[in-house]
Amino acid sequence: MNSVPAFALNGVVKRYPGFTLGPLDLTLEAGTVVGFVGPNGSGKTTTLNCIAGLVVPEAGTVEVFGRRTNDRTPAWKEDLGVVGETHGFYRGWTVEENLRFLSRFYPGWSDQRARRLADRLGLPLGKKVSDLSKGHLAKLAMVAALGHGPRLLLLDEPTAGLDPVVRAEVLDVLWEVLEDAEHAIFYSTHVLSDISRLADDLVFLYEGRVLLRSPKDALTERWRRISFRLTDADVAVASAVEYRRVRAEHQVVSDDGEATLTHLRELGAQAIEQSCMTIDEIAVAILKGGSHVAPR
Amino acid sequence: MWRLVREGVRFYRSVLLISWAFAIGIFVLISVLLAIFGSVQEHSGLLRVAVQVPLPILIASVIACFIMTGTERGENRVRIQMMLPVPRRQVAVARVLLPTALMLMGLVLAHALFAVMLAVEGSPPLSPRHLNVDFNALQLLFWVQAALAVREVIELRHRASWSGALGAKAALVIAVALVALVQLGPIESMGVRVALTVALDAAVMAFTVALFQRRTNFTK
Repeated sequence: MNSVPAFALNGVVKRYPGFTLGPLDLTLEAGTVVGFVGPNGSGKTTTLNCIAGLVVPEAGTVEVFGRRTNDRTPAWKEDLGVVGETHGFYRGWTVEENLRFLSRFYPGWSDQRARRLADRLGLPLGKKVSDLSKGHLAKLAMVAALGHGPRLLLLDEPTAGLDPVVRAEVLDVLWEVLEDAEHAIFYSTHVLSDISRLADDLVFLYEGRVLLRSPKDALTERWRRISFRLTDADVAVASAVEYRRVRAEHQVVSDDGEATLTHLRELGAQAIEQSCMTIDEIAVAILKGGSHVAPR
Repeated sequence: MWRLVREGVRFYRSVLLISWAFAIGIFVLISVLLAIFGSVQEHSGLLRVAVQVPLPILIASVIACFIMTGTERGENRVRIQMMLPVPRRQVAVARVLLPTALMLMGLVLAHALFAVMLAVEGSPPLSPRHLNVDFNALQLLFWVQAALAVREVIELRHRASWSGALGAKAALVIAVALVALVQLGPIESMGVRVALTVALDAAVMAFTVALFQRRTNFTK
């Protein structure tokens, strides 16, 4: 694995009226896939735009493969592919003409790669962009982002609003891209089932700050939903993120199942039952917990 | 930079050609109607109308420029341009050069048609009246460039306070006042008026480029 991170955000701050992103310190190692999760308005898109150079932060630095992102020497953009909510394509041109336009600016552009991806995704090259469906537009964005063989891919909700079939096609292509371990992917989405298939790590953003960063597998291993019976009234349970009591039965969501179970046994709890949580349930619990979840 | 301009011209070429075709069609129609129903029935009268042909060509070109600026904004072009491995300064310059290129293409056509009409009329093909065509084109280009500058001032207003954008607003107002002065003021030499309008156009373009480079948001 390359020792230079795919990107590094160092103390990045971006202020908008009523919202401040950061200070944000975040790195993405080459060859890894990180899911970027957060509620609407938490600053996910702004973060991605800061990395892509579309938003200039007020403080801090952004590096892409060890190179400071600046507007004078934009060679770092050759390492970057971005799929965002908006695209900027020439709507009066066909898909092929738009791809040809891009090919004229990227030294690493490969027509063969772009055509193969377009074929793989069933993208009609001869169709005007203005006539494309939302699904085809997302596919075009994917081909446009990958045509020059970037080592870092920033994906801002690339499957939002797509039907399950198109979403599966797009994700399949991402899988293929990942076969080359050099690629790093930073994937912002609300569709957590997409991430659960791809991501190594998950980063949770809340009100402009990183709330939690954890390997995905560690989350699914540690987080548990536990119910138990205890005659005491409300109890403080170790590692509980959520607590609810229904008559004699207590229910907790724990971010460290083992620690909670040990504690409950010490308390003399009975009828202890635990169940695993899906990544969606964990994400909801983390984001509902907001600042109560301890950063790791 | 030039690649960006070239690609832009390639994209808006059809808009420009359609605008010219409409302009010439309407101009010919008006000339025919004048010949049939109006007072301009003599041959010389018709020629006097015909030599006005640069004006519709220039107006058609400026319409194409405004369609271009609206389309660029509507299609969020800045986003894809800023994703390209091209320095921000070059993107900024290309954005002001594209309408200039469209306008210059219109100017070349206007001059060519004007030369033909003058030749038919019997005037020397390189008449001093060509400077009038240049002056009209440069004045129209000023308004296209001013529209781009206004967009950048609005962007500045969004990221700075109202008073912070005051200097930029004042600069634009002064530029408009100066262009009005050049058009309506006591300057008699057309050469001087053309030169002053070129300077004003260039100043507004430089102003737009400078504001674009200071932007902190290129998402729309």
